[in-house]
Amino acid sequence: MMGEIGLYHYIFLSFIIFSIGMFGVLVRRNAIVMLMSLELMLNGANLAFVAYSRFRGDEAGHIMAFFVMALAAAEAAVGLALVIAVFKHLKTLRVDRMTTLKG
Amino acid sequence: MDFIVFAVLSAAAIVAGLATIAWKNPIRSALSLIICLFALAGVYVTLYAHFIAAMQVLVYAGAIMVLFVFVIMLLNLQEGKLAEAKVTIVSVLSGVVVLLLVGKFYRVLSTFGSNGGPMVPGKGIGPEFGTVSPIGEMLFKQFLLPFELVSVLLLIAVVGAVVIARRRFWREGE
Repeated sequence: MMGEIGLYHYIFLSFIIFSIGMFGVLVRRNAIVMLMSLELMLNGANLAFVAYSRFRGDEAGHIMAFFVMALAAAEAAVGLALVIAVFKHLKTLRVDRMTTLKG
Repeated sequence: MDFIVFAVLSAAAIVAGLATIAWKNPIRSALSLIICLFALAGVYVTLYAHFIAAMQVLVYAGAIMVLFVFVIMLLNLQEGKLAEAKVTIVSVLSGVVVLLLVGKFYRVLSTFGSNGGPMVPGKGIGPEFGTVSPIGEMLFKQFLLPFELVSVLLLIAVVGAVVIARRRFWREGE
């Protein structure tokens, strides 16, 4: 297994991190843990950006990763504000209990 | 040597990522996610992305995770409220969907063991690759408009978060 580290190792790691995050979003019912799984998915995508950037010797991928981080900060702020608003009303974080809009 | 560093960091990231979605208690999930983000910052260092690694620690492991931990503390969850739904048809279907995704990316999985060639074909990277100065130059020349738009986005997110968290959406009687 000892060998040179190549692009595919990083892409493989990025794919695994993304899949873990996606599994968390789909399976967990706790709103905060779902938001954390979303952060994992964004990190998987970020790793692919940075790996290809190093592969091509071009820093544009770093800029994209930087923008994704700013986006993640905005998403976390709005998402957690929604969690607080819903918790104040329903006294639960379980998304399968949030059925006010259900027809 | 490179291989050992990469293997240790990626194993830490994967184990901490699995722990994040496996813990029942959200505070443990948050602490596992911090470990995962630190390990990924180390992976960025092995890719010579020094600026991104610093931003990962400052923005992700610092700012965003402090926000998560703060909200978890604020909500003061009791044990009874942490109960997850039992394994339902929905969660089984979700697992199947993820497996289908894994199958969809079998080409990625089939690359396991090969390294995809040298990291920089054709030309080498300079000693300044990934440091603040070339990234800042690119950010303020080539990507100036998106950079300014990100500041507008952050302003909208902050105002939106304050409005959503303060306002009462439902009347008390309902």
